[in-house]
Amino acid sequence: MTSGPRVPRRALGVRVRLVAGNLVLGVDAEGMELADVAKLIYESADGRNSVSDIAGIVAAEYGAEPEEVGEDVTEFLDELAASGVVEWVTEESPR
Amino acid sequence: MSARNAVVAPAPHPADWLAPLRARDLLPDDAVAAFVVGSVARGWENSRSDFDIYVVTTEEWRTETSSDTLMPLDPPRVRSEVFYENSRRWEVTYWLESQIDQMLAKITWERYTSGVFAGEILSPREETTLARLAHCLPLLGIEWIEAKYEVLKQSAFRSIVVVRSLGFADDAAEDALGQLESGHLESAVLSARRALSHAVDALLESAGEYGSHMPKWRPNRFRAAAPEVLSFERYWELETMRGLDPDDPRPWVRSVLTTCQDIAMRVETS
Repeated sequence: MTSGPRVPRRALGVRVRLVAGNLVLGVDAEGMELADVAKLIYESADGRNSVSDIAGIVAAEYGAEPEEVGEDVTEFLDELAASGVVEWVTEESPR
Repeated sequence: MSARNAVVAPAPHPADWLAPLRARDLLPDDAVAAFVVGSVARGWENSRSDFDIYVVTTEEWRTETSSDTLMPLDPPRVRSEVFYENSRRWEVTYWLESQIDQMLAKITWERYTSGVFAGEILSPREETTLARLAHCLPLLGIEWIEAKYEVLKQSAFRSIVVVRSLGFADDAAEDALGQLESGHLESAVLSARRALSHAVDALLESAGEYGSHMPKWRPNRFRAAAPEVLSFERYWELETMRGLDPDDPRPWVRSVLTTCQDIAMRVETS
């Protein structure tokens, strides 16, 4: 999977609360809690940062190389997209 | 500056706020506290502003000239007196000490976490009254006022109003998205505006700037709170709908809803 041109954005209409420093998405039994790196990835999905930008943000925060975290970031964003809390502004460009 | 744009300075405050009340026999012996509330207490008044004073008593105020306002308390009313002095309208509201205690008893952490919808814990007037403890001008019984304000600060009041406002913002955002999808673009604009109002109120309430039921003061409250999450310039640009394209309001609506979500992500709820 490429991590270049894809740009994720937090989906609108998802209820978000900051509770004790963590983000809680959704307010029912299906609620999802995001802490630490998961929270940072979600926060960074602002419709402007590409997946590789977000990998760079995470790497900078945790003292790693973007290449080290890129795959995990991509995987997590795909999970968030599958859950409907993130959507893709730009999908993969044709190769 | 032209005459039309000239700023009229409000008349100076009375040297003794309680003198006009004493002169009219409107300050009972059992008063435990008295304080100026509203725009005057915040320094936001103008030459047409009323002077609003709360007097807290142990016995219910009873006169032939007083008027009642219904309250969800025991007794279920507060009484007020109105008079004019130097062309100013004065309104004196008489609260029983027990009524203040009843309102404070509604905002405990136990109540907040009991699952009761935050928007139904206090009536708008109760919320406004308690909020005014935070920004009042004490005239009498300053220790009583400070003690009640301390109870307010330790209570779930802030969380209650923040969660209430965020909930209303979410509801309005959901309306706006649905209306966008169905092509009701004008209604989507109005729903987005409503979402913004509630989200900004939550942001200000989280900073202790209460007063959601008086939106006319939102810009003043915003400047007083000076939140880092959103600049005043950006807030005012959205509030005054400067970026709205009437031919295609969709980008503006989405931008407003994004701001609302950004606020929700950064306002701590307990």
